[in-house]
Amino acid sequence: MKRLWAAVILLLCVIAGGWYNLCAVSGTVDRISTSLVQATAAVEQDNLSEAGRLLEQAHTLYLKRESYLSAVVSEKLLDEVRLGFARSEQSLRNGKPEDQATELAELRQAVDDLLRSEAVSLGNIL
Amino acid sequence: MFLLFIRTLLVYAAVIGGLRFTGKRQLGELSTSEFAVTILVSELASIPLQDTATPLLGGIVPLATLLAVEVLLSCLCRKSPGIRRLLCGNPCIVIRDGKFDPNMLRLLRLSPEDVLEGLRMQGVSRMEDVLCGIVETNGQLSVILHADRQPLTPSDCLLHPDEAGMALVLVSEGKILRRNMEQLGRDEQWILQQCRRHGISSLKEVYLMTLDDRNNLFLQRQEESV
Repeated sequence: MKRLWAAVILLLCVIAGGWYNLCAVSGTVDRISTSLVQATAAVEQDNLSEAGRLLEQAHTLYLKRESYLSAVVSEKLLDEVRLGFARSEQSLRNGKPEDQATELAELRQAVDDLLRSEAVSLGNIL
Repeated sequence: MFLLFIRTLLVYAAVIGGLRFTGKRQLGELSTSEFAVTILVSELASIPLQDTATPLLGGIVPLATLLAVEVLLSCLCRKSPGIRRLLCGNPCIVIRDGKFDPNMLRLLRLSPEDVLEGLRMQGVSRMEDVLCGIVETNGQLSVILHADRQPLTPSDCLLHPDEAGMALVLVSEGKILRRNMEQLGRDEQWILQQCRRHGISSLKEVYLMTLDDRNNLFLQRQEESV
């Protein structure tokens, strides 16, 4: 009986942990994406200082959650995000307006991929 | 992570379903679900080892899921004959009174040569000796011989030998196993006394000492080990 209850508790912990992870990653991605969307809008309005501030805000949000994400998400996906932030910051400092928007879009894609890898969907299951 | 959990359950169900579909031939000595878990556990545990970019939880979550589900299923099998039948199947009689059951062999996709091989491994050389041959749920062949073909026992010869006790290890390589000592109702003083009777002054000289519940003592010195 002890082993049965241990198995039930273990399964419940795994389910609860998975659910928490899904919510945590989803929340993080949503907050970073929101900042990136606003940064893209600022770039389109030629407001580079605002875009830079929003990008930095997104980067700070990411860095706060990076250690947790390292434990649950593939390192390759995180490398894409890190590279995306570096390219976007570089582009905002020196780049052309069309490149800035492109880099931000690619960064947003990389951030959304973090959630896509964890999302419970038929496509992911299969 | 939640995705890993769902995928693990699906892969587990697929492997069990696949093994049940192949039948008893493939299983050997493990039951269906045990075999599935054995295969999957080794594969899953190696995932984070093969690729350091994969988080450790990528191997641990599926592992924990598998083991917990295996325990739950085994408890369910114990309580429900229906679930046990679904997961493990039923034992099948393939030999009755010295003759093969061709229908059962066909169902199990076994040939008579396969069964004869199993009989030889059980030390049975003649079909006529066999009362019943059963392919168990784990794929092993069990054989029940006719009464007059079974090995003689002392009671058949109207003999009543003394009961053999179950020996427990008291001392192993100089160390006393206290749990066994307490179970046999002995103490350290008694052990040392027995050692002195055999000309041993210290426990370090003892390789093995066992005692059964009929008080039969076995003692081997260190230098007597092969």
